[in-house]
Amino acid sequence: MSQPVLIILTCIIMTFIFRFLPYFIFPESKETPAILIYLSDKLPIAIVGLLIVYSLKDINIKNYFIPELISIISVIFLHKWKHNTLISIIGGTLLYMFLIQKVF
Amino acid sequence: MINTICVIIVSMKDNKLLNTLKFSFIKSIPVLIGYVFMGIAFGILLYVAGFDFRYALLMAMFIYSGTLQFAAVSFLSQGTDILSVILISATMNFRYLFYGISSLERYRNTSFYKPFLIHYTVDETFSIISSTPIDDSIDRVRFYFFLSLFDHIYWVIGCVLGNVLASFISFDSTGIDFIMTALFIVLFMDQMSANKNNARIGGMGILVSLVCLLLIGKKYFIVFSLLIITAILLIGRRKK
Repeated sequence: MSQPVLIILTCIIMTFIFRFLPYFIFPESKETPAILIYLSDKLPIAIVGLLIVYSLKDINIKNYFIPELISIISVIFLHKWKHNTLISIIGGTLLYMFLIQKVF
Repeated sequence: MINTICVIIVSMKDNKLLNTLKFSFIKSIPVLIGYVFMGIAFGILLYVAGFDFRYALLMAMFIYSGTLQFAAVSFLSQGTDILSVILISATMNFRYLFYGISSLERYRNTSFYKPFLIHYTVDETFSIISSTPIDDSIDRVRFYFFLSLFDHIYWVIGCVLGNVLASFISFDSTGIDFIMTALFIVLFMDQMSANKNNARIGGMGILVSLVCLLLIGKKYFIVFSLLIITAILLIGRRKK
């Protein structure tokens, strides 16, 4: 097998293992331990918080986070104001693209 | 009489199915835009590294993880050894264990859909599913499935399209990836307003991640953040 195919296969197998492992350890026939039910209730919001930070990890720091801060604040503002997911997301993204392409 | 009832039941069922499809599509629109553009970026990168659309398709179908696929492009162009590929992909995929743990109950008794739902577990789909309240007009399991499937289709289309059109594309999409940040912020706000206790846990999540990012750096901070967040949650549980 060629090296590229081997590399891709390894990535595929590793991803399948990590995605399916929890379901193999805790199959449907067994009752999910209370501690995991507790975690599954509390973890998601913390993980979404983590993903906000994660999605910003590669930004260019030469602008001192100013375009990012402006765009984040406008997403929060738009969402508080209009309560419309699409307006908040697309509005904030267009503003960010404008800021880093034309202003900074 | 019975016939009429049957027709009503069937049409009600159809209505619910239609509702669910529509609901899933609307929820997936931010991902549609984000994934097509990110997929195109990946496809171009893979093309530049010297791999055609068959590789893009294979990776988008079966790896289906933006982070790992972008890393895999550099594995491919550098011919990274398999042991390193295993170790790096393990740290990148570590978070899927936590998504799995958080979805065990939600995906219980989803029969035929279950393997697909598990394979379709990605950051965006997981965040949307765990943040979206569902009422009676929506078929819960089908919503999970449609949303997951739509997101995957967008990703596959983006990756292949970018690879095939790589030599023709010249559009300045710098900054489009902010759409993912915006999506996570909105989902975060929705979850915060749903439950007061959520605000504290969410704030803790952001704080821990920021500290870990600053102390540990980009490469491994996810693993440490997840472990610390889980530890804090477990300590909080004991106190009560």
